[in-house]
Amino acid sequence: MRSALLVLVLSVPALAQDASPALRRLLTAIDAPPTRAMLVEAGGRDTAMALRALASNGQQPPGLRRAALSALGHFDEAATRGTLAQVTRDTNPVLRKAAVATLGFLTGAATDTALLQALADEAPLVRRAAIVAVSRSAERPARDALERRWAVEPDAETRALLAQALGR
Amino acid sequence: MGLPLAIALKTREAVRVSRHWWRVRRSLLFFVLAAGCFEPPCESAAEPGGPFVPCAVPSLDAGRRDGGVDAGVIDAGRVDAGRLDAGRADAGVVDAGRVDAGFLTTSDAGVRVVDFGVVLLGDAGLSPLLELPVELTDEGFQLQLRNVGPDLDVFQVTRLVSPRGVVLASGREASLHRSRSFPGVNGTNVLVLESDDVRAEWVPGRWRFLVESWEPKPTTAVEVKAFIKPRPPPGVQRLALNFFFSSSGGLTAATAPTAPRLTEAMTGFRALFLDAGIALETPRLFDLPPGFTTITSPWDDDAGTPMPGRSLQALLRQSVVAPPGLNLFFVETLDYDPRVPPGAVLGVSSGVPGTTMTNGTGLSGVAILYDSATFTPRMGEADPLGFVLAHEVGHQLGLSHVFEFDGDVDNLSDTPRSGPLANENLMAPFAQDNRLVTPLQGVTLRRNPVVRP
Repeated sequence: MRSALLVLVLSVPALAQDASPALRRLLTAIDAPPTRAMLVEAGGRDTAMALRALASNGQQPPGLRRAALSALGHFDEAATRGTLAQVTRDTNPVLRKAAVATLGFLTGAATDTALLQALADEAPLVRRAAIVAVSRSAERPARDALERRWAVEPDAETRALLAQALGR
Repeated sequence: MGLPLAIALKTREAVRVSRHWWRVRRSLLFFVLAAGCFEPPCESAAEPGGPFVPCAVPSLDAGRRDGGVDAGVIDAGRVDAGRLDAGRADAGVVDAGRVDAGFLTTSDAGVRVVDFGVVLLGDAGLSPLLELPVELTDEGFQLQLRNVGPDLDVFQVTRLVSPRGVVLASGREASLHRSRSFPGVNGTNVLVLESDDVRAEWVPGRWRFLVESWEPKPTTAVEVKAFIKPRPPPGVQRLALNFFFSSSGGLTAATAPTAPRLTEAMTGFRALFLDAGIALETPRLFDLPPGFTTITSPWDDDAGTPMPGRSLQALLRQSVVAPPGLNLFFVETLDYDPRVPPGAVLGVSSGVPGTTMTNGTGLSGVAILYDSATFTPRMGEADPLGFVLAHEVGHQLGLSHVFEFDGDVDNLSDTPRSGPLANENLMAPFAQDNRLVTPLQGVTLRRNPVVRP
């Protein structure tokens, strides 16, 4: 009885977070990204939670996780920011890049600590995504962070992007 | 997102009507079309199925925001050049006061090029009536519009009327357009073709049309050309490809020939198009100048955008260095629509169809997201790259999605609208197992004049 109850307790949040087939299908869009309304229609009221679960689950296919990370840009909530910040430390640089880019898209998140740290990510593609994300802010901390990165950035393509961001 | 208000409003307007630019997220001058220019520069790479061969690339001015191509250098003196007096306008179609028949500038591999020059649009935003003679032996034509004025604008072909008076395109509602005719920012292309489709219209004779600007100004000017494709002999046709690499995912002209992910994707891409009767020629490979890994805006005119990166338009203009063919650009970041969360787009075509007959314009090609050299399948997830390549090239040649999220459908009568056959179609909006091409889709692909016998 106790084990059955335990299974039930554990499975409830799992069920709540499970992305519906319709939501998963939307996440395979090639060039017509789903809107927030489409995502909610497909995923119901727990859409954001389901997307966060997909995005942070290392057992899920990377392509699906990447799409979920992008779709989270439609759900600017504290929990979303936490998930994105967590994925900026993932082992897969493509997913780190996706998390960084979406985090920068959220309102006022351009100087988020996770983003500023991503400016020093080991992978140039993540650093470039972080430069774009941080550049969304015209505030002094963002500019200072880009200036600090300019002083040490070794990659030519990334430096070119930095130079553009700094107006050099 | 920092876009100037005027641009943002224009963007919204473009989104509302020019659905294919945005949904497909679906916008030169260096025009190389003299006879003989279709000879590939890398002769050894000309055979379909052969190995990749990198090509020598002339250097471009990478420091310029527009990629070194200047729309402003269009020779305005060409306006009206070569105009023929084709007789009176058909008053029943439009009272335009005159008819411009353009003039035949060249013939290349059988495709006749009719150049209407730079057309100035009147206060109402309409061109004079333009007229295009089509022969009994032709199977289709593509109209090509390109903005040569200083401002962003939406253009379309309207009042496109067949020789027997059937209207194929009229007004701003895309669903009324029976041809491949959609409005587009900074230019557009229209594909009219012979087909078994009951909705198609194809007869030889004099076709007439107008060019319309949505926001006419005294400076509004459009370069108009038509490419008429004669009916080819039966058999498989060929499509020349130009690949451009930004070094994203480690992909360059040197590494591409042996890059496993790209090689595998090309296998699927080739098979899909061969099913449609088109053999893909061995791609010619080009390295882009530095700075094109990151695409963060749609057009050059984005002075208010704070984000670094290049515009999609500037990227596509890099095709100016390539010989005629369909251009594919591989980039690391493809976030050209500032209203959409980053990373949501795997590929984009510049039009339906795009500018396939002139390289170096902001509509000359498709962009593909390629930010990783590897793709590790997990839980049944397949690498969508091959489908994305084929899908975007499908758009560029003239195919729409078979269905849209909002219930809209394409204008072919044999494409499935729902169910497994729709989901597995090349032009389904999802990357699943998109392997099916209907007969009429194949016809549309093959009629594009960039596809050669």
